[in-house]
Amino acid sequence: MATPEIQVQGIVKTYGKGRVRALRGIHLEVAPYPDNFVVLMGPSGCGKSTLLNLLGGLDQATEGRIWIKGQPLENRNDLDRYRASEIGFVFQSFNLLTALNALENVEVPMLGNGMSNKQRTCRAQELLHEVGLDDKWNVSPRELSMGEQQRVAIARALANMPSIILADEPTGNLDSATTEDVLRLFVKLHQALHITFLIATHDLQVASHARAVLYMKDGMIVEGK
Amino acid sequence: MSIFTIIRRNLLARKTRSLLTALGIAVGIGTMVSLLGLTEGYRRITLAFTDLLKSDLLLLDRRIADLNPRLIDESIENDLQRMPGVASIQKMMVGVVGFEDLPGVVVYATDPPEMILNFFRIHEGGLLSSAESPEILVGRAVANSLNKEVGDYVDVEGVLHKIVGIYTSPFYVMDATVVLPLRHLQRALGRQGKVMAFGVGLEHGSSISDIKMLIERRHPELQCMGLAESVRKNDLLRIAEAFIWAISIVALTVGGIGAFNTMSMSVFERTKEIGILRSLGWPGSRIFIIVMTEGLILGVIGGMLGCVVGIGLDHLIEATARVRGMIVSAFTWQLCLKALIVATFLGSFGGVYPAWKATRISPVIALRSE
Repeated sequence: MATPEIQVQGIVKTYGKGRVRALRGIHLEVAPYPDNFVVLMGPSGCGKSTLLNLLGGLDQATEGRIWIKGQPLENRNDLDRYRASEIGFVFQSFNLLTALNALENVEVPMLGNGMSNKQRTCRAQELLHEVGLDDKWNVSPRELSMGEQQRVAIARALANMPSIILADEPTGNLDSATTEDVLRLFVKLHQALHITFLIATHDLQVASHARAVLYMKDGMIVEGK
Repeated sequence: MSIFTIIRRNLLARKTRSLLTALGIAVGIGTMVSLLGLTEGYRRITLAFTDLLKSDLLLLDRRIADLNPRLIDESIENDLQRMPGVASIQKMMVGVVGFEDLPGVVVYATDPPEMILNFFRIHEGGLLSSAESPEILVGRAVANSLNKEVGDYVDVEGVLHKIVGIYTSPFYVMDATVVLPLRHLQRALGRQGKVMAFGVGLEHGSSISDIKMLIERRHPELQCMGLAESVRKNDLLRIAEAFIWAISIVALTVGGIGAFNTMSMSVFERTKEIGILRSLGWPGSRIFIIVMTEGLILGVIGGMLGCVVGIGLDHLIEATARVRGMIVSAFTWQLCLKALIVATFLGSFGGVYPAWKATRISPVIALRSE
């Protein structure tokens, strides 16, 4: 049996000395390609983002264990490197750096990974080409449409060739046509690069593209198909 | 693109914030530069007064610190001249004499008379011809007050003195003085055969300490100071320097707190950006370097601005009617360098805690902030 891409066992996350229980014992397994395009659905506040943060090494679980490609996450003392090389984040609000242009935003994750200036720029140009933004290299994020900003954010998430993309409400700020564009891009990347996608959303349109859909409520996974 | 591109873009993207941070540092540094410039000016005035004698050693009566110091007997001049290593002797007398309509004017007398050129600039006319002739040099302010010109006469203690020259000085107060031949001043003060100080010029290669010891052994009533020592012993200068340093420390503290506060606010405003960088896998150390470097750059810019502000402020103060001619500022490249070093330190110091704090922010909390 192939090693799952992501495995989560009994994850609990509490805040405020245990008063707030955001996650109440999550069990989850993301199978390898082609079943690694997973959508997490559920109402706001059900714990989707918290789960993504734990998987991305941005936060630590109160209880439980996480394995990424069979390796326990809690044993890693290089979470910065883990985030830089194995994880790509896509956020609802894009989170681009407004002081930099589109090309530079894509280059940011590559700084310090041993690539030369020229290699970084070439890679960023390729990625912007990949997401259909060939003519927007020098444009500030402020001057881009929301769909274009999300495309830059996706290109940035792909910069270091991660094996997992964690997307938190990636279409929350987009109209339905742009949402469809972004989803088609996700599917294309999934098929081309076999990247694991874990997308938190409450948008049914997103769920329609998934290989697996998990439903969350009150910090627990209540249903999966 | 490199880390420095990000630093440059960050500074330029928030021009107002960057400018205000640099200005915060500039105010502190400007205050320091201004105060130290004034101290330096004061020190130069003091040096110039001492330099009046153009001597290596200054001989004063030991009781000069008393309110009524005794004058030195002029007769010891012969003994001084015979000492090995002594090249020249100068005599100086200062007193206050009333003449014409002026109730009291500071009067200088030097022997040789040309010594006065070390300090005053002859504006019209020439020098006193000897230590004996009934001549007088008057400062520009005195000449104006008496409405006299070169060639006119003034009555000093019943003796008519011909004005042979009018002088000016960089220091306004010195323009309100006059210079008499030594003998005439001694007579006017009723202190014939007395002088206030001797200046001793030494032959090249002579030992100041040996001659000082010899003079003090032969004339225990005299206090013998090297020029540098006499300046160092100037209590007023030392008090003024200490006072101005204290004010500078206050100015620097205020500037430092301002810089620190501005840098902290700048990091606080960028919490989300820091969260984004952390989510992209940037280590805290890299974020620390960025915030620190930005602080350093703002410190250097603030330091340069501070030097300009400080120098400009002092020129403004000098031009103010209330202090014109009485306060003089002086700037050296060492002072500006010192200011730049302090500003760089301030910028870095202002950036250290915020930078450290930036690395401690939880990425999740940082990403949630707006």
